[in-house]
Amino acid sequence: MSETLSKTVLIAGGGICFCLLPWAAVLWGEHYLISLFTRILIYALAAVSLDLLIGYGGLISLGHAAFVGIGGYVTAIFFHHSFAGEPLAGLIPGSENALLVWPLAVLAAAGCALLIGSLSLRTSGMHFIMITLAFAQMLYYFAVGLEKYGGDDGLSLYSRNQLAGMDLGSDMQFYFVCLFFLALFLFLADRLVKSRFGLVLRGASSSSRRINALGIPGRNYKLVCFVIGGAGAGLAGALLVNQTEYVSPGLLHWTMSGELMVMVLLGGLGTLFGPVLGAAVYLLLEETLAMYTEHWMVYLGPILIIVVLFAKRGLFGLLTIRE
Amino acid sequence: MADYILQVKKLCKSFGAVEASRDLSFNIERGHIHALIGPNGAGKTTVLNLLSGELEQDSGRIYLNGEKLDGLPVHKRALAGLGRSFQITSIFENLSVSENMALAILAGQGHNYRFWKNSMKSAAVESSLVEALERVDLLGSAGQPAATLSHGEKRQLEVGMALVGRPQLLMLDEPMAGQGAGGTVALKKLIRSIKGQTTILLVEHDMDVVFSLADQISVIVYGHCIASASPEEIRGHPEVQHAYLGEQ
Repeated sequence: MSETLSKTVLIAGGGICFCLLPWAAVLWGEHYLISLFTRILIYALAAVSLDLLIGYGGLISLGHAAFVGIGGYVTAIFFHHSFAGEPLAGLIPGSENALLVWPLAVLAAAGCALLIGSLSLRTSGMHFIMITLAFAQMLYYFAVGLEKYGGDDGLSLYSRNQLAGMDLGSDMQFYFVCLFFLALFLFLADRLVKSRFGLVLRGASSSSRRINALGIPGRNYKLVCFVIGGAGAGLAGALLVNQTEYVSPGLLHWTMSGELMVMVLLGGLGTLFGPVLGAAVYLLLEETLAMYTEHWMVYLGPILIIVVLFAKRGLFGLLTIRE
Repeated sequence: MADYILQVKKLCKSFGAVEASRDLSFNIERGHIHALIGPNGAGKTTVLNLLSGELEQDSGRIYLNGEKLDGLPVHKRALAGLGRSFQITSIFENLSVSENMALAILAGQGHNYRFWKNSMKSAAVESSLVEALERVDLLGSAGQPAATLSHGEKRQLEVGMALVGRPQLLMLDEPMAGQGAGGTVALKKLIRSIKGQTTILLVEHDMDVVFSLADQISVIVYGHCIASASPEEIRGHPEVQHAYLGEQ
């Protein structure tokens, strides 16, 4: 089987599985699987957006949690003000309408990515890793200090957002909303990496000297990539807060950035669809191993090392490349 | 008066106590192959980096077509018509050969903030990719990852990419470095074939190549241009023989 064919089969098969899963869960009577897989879909969205940065833009960011957190906090803060009936800063009314709040969450994350990116992209390599980490940790402590919104303890939402005639409170419906957004983001990202923009981006990540010599300011393209990745993570944050009906500074902590990076590496760097697999394997392992021991990381560590050492493009690469 | 495409006037550049360029001046006539020679460490690559904008001079002026280039960033100078191939091969190793060339083709075709259409199917690529690859003899390895090319093939791709943007002035930094005899002949042929379409600034160690291709040669010693003349005159120039050719 050729590589592209096996790739298509794998992606189509994965898509069908995700579509059928909720009904299977209902048939088996294992209703909790729906919320577990919703979580997988949302983390997958965040991991795919990180793969755009690392795998295609060569931007090793250890601060991706910042954008997930911003998306989450925007959603939660608007909900909080709507629920309390008290306008934000005395001016802006809160809202529980997903059609309004989610785009705002995405915009806020993208705007913040523009700011952080334009400063961080003055550096590269190790410095870039450190500066993105520093920005994310700054925002983490900022969230901890937000006494009005629960500070350390975070903020509860009491219910999910409202989305045009749908009942997001239903786990089944919410699952498909998340699946829709993941599929949409994957589709757009797949077009993007094959487009002219994507070609320039991949070139810039390979040799910034050469891309400049060709007459292209490579850094600007990397910045746009950083913003698009941040926007995707912001959407993931909004969805995650809706699922758990809760936001806390933990969403912005560097361990979250690390987890997302592990998902990308496990699934396959620079493969877009791989991180979906990575998120699924990571969260399922966490779920099953945690049943036996709270030190489940002890077992995950070696698995990750083996995958990174022996499969250059992660699990996705293992499954698609035939010699 | 001669038609100069590039004028370099009293360029100075120091790295700490080292003067890499010292009151360096020379002119390149349109349509010529102009060679830059000099002993190792004479500052030839520094000149190219000053011209391309990777380095900024301490003083002096650079004019392309009479327009001042100083202060412009690298990519703007490239768009103004300054093409370049590097001494150390710097193709896009993670892209395929045809993607490398496609990127070079698209670079000069307006902005690249196009997110939707497949880059390999854009009109500019479809119309000139095959020809561009053929010119550097790489059509057979079009689908291959560039990282898997041989050293010589990478050099060919490097030069091919610099050529495809139709630069007004093409700077070739040691294109023959590390090439076997066959590769040298092929590249020489390639450079001859584009003569007249574009002006070339050639930095090269291989003196046979320089004297067989160049219309004009500038000799740089310790960052200073000690002579700029035709190959015959350079051959007979006593100072040049002393400083450079005599050592061989």
